[in-house]
Amino acid sequence: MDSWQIGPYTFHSRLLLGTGKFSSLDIQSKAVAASQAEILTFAVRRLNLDNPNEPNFLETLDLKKYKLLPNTAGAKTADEALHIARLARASGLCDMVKVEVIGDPKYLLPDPVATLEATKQLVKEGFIVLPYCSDDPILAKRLEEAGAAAVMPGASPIGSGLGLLNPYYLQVIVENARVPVIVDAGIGSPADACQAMELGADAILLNTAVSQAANPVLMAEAMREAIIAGRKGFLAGRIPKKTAASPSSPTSGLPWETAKTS
Amino acid sequence: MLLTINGENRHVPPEVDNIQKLLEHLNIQRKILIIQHNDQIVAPDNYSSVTVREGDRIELVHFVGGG
Repeated sequence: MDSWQIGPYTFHSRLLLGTGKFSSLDIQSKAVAASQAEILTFAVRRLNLDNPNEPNFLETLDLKKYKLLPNTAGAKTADEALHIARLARASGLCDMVKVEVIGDPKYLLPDPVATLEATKQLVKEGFIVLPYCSDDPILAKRLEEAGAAAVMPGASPIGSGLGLLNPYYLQVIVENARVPVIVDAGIGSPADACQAMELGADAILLNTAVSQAANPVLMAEAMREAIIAGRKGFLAGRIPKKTAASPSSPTSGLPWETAKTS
Repeated sequence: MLLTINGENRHVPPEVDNIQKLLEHLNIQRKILIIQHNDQIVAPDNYSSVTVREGDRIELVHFVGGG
């Protein structure tokens, strides 16, 4: 597969995998391996003081093989997102951050104003900023102008599995973007991921579709293959849609045709 | 000495007077850990030199699964 870049980093996999809601560390490790993802997202949370040394997925990973993408999930304001981003970077393990500022508790929709505000500030502080945003082409442009290294429009609400609700707007975002477009959130099936890639998305970030699948390891593999298929389909260039049929077999030479008179 | 650790009030013996000793007192062996002491992030090299006093607020955070 062709490579792509976020800021100074080059990647070959176009699947970014979230690490939440896996039923066990063993299944998670196998799913991550099957996905061949190179970027993994994480959340930042307080340590459980009553069990501070409980097994932790990140500590099982070979950190040379992966780029960590901490998110600011849980933030409801730009300031809270900045706080989480700074804590994450202080780990010394990452300089990328997924800005996620939620403005609606039921649909978990990103707050576009706070997301833009946090993006501007984190760019100033030298972060490589990947904002999770609504699928608004003008917002995507504003985030890019603010210095976002990629824009990450949602396909549909986080964890909903509803797939791509607005393929038309995604296409406009892709058309206008000069930074990678990563479709983040709402992907439910390999078909959804493939569709977004066919429309020209540079990559897909998903989590629940794999972690909550009946077989997460097999689904990770299916997503990887769907994303590769979608990317190839985009590069190959699909045929225009027509309203009438166009036969694939020759229309002449049938064995009951009468010979033409000369 | 009363500290606020991750939002909880916790009593620690008076000899637990720096971040390194606090980690030992709490039996924290986590390799990947981020510590904030009264709004300041503490780099691992400074765990022994940052003094902990009565009433200090300490946040111990780490990376967990998330999307």
